[in-house]
Amino acid sequence: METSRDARRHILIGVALLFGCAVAPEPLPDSRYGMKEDGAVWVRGPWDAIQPSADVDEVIDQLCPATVQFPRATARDYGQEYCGLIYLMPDGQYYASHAAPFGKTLSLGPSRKKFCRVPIEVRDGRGSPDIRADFHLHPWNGSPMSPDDLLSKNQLFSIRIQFDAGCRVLKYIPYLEEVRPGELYERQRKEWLLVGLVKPEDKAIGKVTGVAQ
Amino acid sequence: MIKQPMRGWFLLLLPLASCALLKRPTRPVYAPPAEAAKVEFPLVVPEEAVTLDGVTIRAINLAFEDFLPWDREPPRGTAPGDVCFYKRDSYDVMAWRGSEGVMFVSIYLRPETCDHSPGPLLDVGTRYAVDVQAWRILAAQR
Repeated sequence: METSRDARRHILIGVALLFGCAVAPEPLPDSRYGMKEDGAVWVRGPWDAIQPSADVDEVIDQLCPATVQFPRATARDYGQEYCGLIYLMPDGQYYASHAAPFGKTLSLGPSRKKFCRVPIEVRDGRGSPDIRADFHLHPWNGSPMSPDDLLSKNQLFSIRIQFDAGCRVLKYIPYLEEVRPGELYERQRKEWLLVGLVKPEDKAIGKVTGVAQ
Repeated sequence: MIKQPMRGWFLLLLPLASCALLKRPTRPVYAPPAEAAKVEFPLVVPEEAVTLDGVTIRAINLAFEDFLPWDREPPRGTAPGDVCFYKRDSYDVMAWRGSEGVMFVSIYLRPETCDHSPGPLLDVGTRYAVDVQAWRILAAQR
C-alpha cells in the first residue's frame, strides 16, 4: 500500500517536472549586444537614453548619468563594468550605442577584478556607423583610467572615454598614427582640462607625464 | 561521547592538520651541476642591462604579493585560456617614487599575452601606493 502510494507520488513529480520543462520559456538573447564566436563584442545602437548631437561632447556628457543606472554599475567590489561605443552617422549626428556588460571577473588584486571587453562593432539598421570612440564605466568612486586603459595596444579608436561611479569623466586621445604626445583630459564644468601627456616613446606603456604649467 | 585516549589523538591531529594547510614559499629550483657547469658569467654587460634599486624591487614584490600572491592558483573551473592571468610573468610593471616614503607600482598585462580576442580587455592591471618605510600598502586603485 505504502509502496504504491510512493510510486504514484514519484510519477506525479515526474510529470510535473516534465510539464515544467515543456512550458518554461527559453531566455531570449539580448538584442542590445552580443559576443561572436571569436570573442569579439558587438553593440546595437542607437541607445535611446542618449540624445544624439552634432557636438560629440553633448553625447559624452549624457553617458555617465545613464550608465550608472544599470545593475551593479556603482556596486564597487561587487560591481559590473559596462562598455560601449560613440559613432557618427551620415546625418552628421553622434550617437551612443548600448553599453555591454561583457568582460571577465578574475581573482586578482585587492578585489575580484572586473575587466571590460571593448566592443568592435556597432549594429545600427539605419546605415554605416563611423565609430569614433569607446567608453566604459568603472564601478567604483575615485577610479580613473587604469594602466591597461592607456596602453597603445588597447586603443582601437581615436578617443577613449572613461568614467567612474562618481561620474568623473576622462578622455584619452592616443594619436597613435602621429608623432605627437597622447593627451589625457578631465571633463570639468563642460570643458576639457588637459591633465596629462603621453610622450610618443611612452605610448606603448601608457606612461602619463604632467603638463607644463 | 569521545573516550579520553581518543580525545588525546584528536588533540595531536589538530596541529598536524593545520601544519599541512600552511604552505611555505618554495625555494628556487637549481639546475643539475652538469648544466650549471656550462654557464659562463659575462664580464661585459650589454647595453640593455637594467638596474633596479632594492627599494623598488621590494615595493614591486609587496604589490605583487597582493595582486597575485605566490600561492594563488587559478580557481577550479578556470578556462584554459584564462590560466595565463594567474602567472606573474604575464604582467609588466612600472614603478616610480611619489611623495615622502611612497612608491607607486603600476601592474599591467604584458602586450600580446593572455588575451587574443579582437576587442581589447581593459582594467586587468592595478596601481598600488606602497609605504616604503612601514612596508605596507597604502592604497590600491580599483
